[in-house]
Amino acid sequence: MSKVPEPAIKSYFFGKGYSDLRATIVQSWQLNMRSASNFSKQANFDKEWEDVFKGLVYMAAAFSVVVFGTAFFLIASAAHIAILFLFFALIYVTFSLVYLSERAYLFIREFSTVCPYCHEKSFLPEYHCDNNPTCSNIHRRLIPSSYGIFRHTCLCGQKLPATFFLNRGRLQARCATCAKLLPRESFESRKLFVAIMGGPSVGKSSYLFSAIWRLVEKKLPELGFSHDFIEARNESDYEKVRKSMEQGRPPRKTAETLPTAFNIMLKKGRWVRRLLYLYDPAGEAYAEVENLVLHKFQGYLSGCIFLVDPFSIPYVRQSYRDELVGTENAIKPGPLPLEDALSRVILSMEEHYGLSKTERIKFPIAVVINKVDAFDLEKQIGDEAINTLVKSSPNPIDYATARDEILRKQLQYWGQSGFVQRLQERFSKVRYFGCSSFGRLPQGNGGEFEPRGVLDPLMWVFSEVDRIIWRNDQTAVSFKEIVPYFFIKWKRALAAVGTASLVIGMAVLLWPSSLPALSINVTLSSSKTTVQKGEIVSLTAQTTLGAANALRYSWQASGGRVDGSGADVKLDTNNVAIIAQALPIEVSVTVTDNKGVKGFARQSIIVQPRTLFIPTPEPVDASTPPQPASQPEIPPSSEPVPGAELSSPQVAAVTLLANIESVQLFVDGASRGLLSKAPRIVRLSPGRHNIKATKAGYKMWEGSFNLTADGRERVLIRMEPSEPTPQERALVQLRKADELFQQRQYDAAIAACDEGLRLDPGNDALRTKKSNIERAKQILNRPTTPSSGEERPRRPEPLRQPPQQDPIDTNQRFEPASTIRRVTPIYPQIARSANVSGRVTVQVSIDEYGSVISARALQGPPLLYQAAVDAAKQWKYKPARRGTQSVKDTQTINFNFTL
Amino acid sequence: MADDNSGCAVLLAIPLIVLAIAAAILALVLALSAGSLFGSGTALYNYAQAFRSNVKPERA
Repeated sequence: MSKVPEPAIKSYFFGKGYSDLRATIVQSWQLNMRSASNFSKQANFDKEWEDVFKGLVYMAAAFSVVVFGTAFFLIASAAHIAILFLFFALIYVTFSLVYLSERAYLFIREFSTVCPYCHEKSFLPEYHCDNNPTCSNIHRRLIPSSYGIFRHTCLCGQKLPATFFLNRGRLQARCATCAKLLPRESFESRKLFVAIMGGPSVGKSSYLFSAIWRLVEKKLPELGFSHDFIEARNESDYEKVRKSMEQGRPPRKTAETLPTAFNIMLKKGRWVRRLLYLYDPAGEAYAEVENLVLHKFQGYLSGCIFLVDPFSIPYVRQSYRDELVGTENAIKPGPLPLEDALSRVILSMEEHYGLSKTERIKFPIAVVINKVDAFDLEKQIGDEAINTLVKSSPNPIDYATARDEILRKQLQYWGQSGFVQRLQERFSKVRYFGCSSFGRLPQGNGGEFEPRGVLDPLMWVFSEVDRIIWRNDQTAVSFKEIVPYFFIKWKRALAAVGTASLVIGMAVLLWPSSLPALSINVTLSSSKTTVQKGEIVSLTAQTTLGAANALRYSWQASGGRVDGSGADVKLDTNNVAIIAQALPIEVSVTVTDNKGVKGFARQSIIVQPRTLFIPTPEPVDASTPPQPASQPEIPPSSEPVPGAELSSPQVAAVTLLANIESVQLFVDGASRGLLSKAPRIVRLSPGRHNIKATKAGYKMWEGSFNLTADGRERVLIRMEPSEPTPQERALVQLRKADELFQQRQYDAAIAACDEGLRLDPGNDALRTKKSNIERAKQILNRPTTPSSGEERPRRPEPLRQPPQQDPIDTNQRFEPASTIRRVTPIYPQIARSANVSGRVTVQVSIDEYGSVISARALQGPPLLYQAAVDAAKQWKYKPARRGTQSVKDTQTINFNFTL
Repeated sequence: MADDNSGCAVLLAIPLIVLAIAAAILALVLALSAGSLFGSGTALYNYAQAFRSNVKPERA
């Protein structure tokens, strides 16, 4: 809250009233003292009786002035303060109500102030006094307050409205942070904030202006919107760019790392107002996260458009290296890798929104591949490819879904799987688009540009944020737009409707039929309240109603099994899972008659374990499936468990043990908890019993044995590891093929795909992968096109040019790379399901800038390789140094995957 | 027999003394009462004067 006093006159009851009271008390005291002094001077006790009498009178008067004067101003002051406080409280309550009402209204309409210059978002701007030109006062909090409920009086005497409802918006507003003037609409409208993001030279400015051009000229009239540039600078910028686009000249590249928002006001009908804030930061801002953190608009974005230059991808650049020669000035490939740009954006979002490393960013992101008209990209990701997929897809899909699928897969094919995966993991809503900001190469005198596909991403973002507005339907208006209008115009009707609703609601609540029905008296009795496990308990439900009421009984028990139906049932406690202590079981019954009246009763039955123990001196082989010839000998336990006695000849015991820890044990279908290598005694009734043991990653063990009354059985459960299924092994081959493909070992990758298809012939992912690798191999092995009869040597394009530096002196001290940022891998679901854990060692190559340029898993569970490699690629290092020069380095990273 | 009239003077003097004392007390009381009333009235007047000159319910 601003501590600077407002240049307005405070209400009497918030300031002057109390100073007036204080002055009254002070002056009254002074006057009384003066009077008492005068009286006492006049008291003259001469010898005359008259003088004595007068003296006495004056003395008494002097004394009374002091005493009664004090009493008077104390009592009067108390009354004065009480009146002041009463008015203070009344005014305070009133302005609080008005203030809260206004805040609620503005909150519903989503009005707020966002400065397009410094991007500061605040509730209210500052206002200039409109007593021009004499008064230059700035009112920082022109809201109902101690300066007035509905109006503030400026120090110059001008009365200014202090609420939205009294048209405060007519005053000139300015930003509270940077003091730039703001148009009225910057506050009184709902806003949409969309940022165009991406690395340098991806075409953000071209995309922005192409999209605005198409939006204003074509799309808005189609949807029934009119537009207005609320600031002259935006209008002049737009006009300049429109003319240059019509003449075939691209717009100027953005230079400011902290851009000014481009504002357009959209209006539809009487109610709908939307103020668009479009941000186009320079791509150089994405070179460092620190630059992005300054972009405050990222803290309140409605959506984002992430522009991708396909020629910033090494695979694409290499594929088109011949075509790119001579066209770099037109195509202008972006230098910043996609993943780097995305990482910086995500880091910036984490800073602005306070997100953890795994939380998702909630606003929609449209990933737009630009320059799709370059060379023959159109055939791979353009309309032709999309329409082909739509026609050939076995399931009916629309154009947008097909485009999304094609572009996503194409990015993966181009080696950007990490980028795609990162998007899916960190953003709630992602969609892929392709566009051409100019429609052709921006060079020469080609005439007017014809942007293609530039509007779809923008309209998708709008429709995700503003679900109802962006339809070509005049009646599709958000409810939030209508409510305030009706509230203002139809107050009485609303009040009547509200009252009627209240009355109807009360009537429904109190109507006899909606009252809870009378309940049936139900009594639940059992043959026993304490039983041993395995016993059968008879349960009976008794009611006061007769059979003519067609009663229905519904039984439930928290343990055991209820057999039977009707009023008499039996509870079987055989499969109650208890081991050592008694377990109370809740049994309940609900009785319903033919009118829907219900009754309920509940009882608790204690189930005790069969608590007998017999010592087991000698091991006996149980009848089991074929066992290995050698079994480890386990010495029999010769000492009984202290405190246990045999109390019934009908219970025996068996000693069970396993060769590994934490084996889930089932005896006769009932769970008996976990079994370990230590022998465990299980009490059972004599007879034949089945045992089953399971553990994740091991084959299930089954066996049975016969237990006599005085039996001393001993069973060894030997668990064996289970084999992975063919589908899991095929998946390992898929991962291996992906890795080999990234290392350019195409033949080995194809062999891995063949192996995977042999294991799992129905795996479409492997089949697709194999065809993609074969295509890639063909493209890369195709002969180069000679020009003027000469063979042009193939020059592989370096992915990143290291800075020019002197030859490295190897005698200087070597300082290895140190970690700046670590990324934890995400545990693959398939490995988690297969209970696979362990350590994966990844070898990473680090360049002179500290980025990981390649990663390779060396050892560990194969199912965890890909996750470890993907995480390792996102690690950032302080570059290794030899002396004063940055050099490359190779290191290993160990990832521990534990369940 | 001879009459003694000295007691009559005493009997007449006592009420007179009492009356005189009473009159003095009454005068004192009157003086004090008048003075108190006068003083309290002055105090009230002083407060009203201070109130009128300082309390002006208008904006600062």
